Amino acid sequence: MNGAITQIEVKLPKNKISIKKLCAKYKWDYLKIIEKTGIKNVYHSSKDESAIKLAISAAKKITKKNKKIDALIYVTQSPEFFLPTNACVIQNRLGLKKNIIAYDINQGCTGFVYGLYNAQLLLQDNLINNVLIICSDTYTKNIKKDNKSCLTLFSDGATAILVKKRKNKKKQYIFYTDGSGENDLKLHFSGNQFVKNKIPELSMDGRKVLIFTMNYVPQIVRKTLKENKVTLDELKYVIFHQASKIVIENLIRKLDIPLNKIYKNYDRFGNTVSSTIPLCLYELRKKKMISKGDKILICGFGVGLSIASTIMEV
Amino acid sequence: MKQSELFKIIKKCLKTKSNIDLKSSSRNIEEWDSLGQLSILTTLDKKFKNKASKLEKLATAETVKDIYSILKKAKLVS
Repeated sequence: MNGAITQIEVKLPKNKISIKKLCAKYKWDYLKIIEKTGIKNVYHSSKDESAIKLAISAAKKITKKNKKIDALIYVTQSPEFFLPTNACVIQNRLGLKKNIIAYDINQGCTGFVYGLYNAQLLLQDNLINNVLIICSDTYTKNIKKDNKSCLTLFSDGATAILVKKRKNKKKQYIFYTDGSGENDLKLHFSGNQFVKNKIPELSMDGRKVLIFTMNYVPQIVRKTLKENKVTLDELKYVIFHQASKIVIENLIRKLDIPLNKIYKNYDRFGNTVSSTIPLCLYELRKKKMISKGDKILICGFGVGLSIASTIMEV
Repeated sequence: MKQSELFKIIKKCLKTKSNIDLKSSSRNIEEWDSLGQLSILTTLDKKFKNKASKLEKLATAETVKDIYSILKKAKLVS
């Protein structure tokens, strides 16, 4: 027994920022930045748009008609609270039934794949038929105004994904974790590291994250194909976490993936962390670019450092 | 690859008019910022057929001398 995604919904903050205008404001070299990141727009949440609010807005589009949610997984690194569990708060605010399992997953760029893996595990339970995954992050709230590399890359947003029980072939998930890269992408002064009068601040060493990605993601992708006994030719699409142009182009080169199998939208939405992959899937469904039975390889990678990959069937 | 060719690659990656030699670094070449560093990493990786990205120290090498030493140790430059 396995699951299938039956609905995806998206909620982006109102504030759409043009990178060109942002560069003009701070006197940054737009052409140089766009050549590497490929990102033309990002979305910055306002003070009133918290990750949990975006999450609830996205999920309402699903739960308005479907209250039969048996499990709720909230993927975020922008928690409203350290306790209570944010998923519990969301259960109440969405008016979902109370006999429900609800928990948070603290993962970033691999978060959606982690969520999907957990959903597949939960669906093996006879009493669970519908799992709601919500991915939501608001990294930009913790980026300093002079942090060019993070400010021109990260975007805020939420996606809600309904996974229903369906009989199909079990898929293998491949995970990779290397916490020695904890400082390569980090929210300083957060959690128990909180320092009075210090606002939690995001920092990234793009060079180290790039090297990690270039070294290990190709290996994980090859292993995902091998373990699922699927060839690259059999895939309809490969969806990578929408990190940036330089990252995705190098993965395409290293894995020799035909360009018609790649779906990308980082240019229009930026790097929305846990929502990048579902945002691509949302567009593919909306544009009717995928049909039943299509195989898609999805691979998230980044903060942790971590990688998570699988093959999903539409 | 010869040392002179490495200098040419770095110059092209950084899109700089400055001369590149063993003394060049992110401190004295204005265009050598984090984006420039990413360009150097990916170009060298392409040039050396995926071998350069395995040299993790290359990610933080911010002088031409260091880059050259790392590549020489890996027997990628002469």
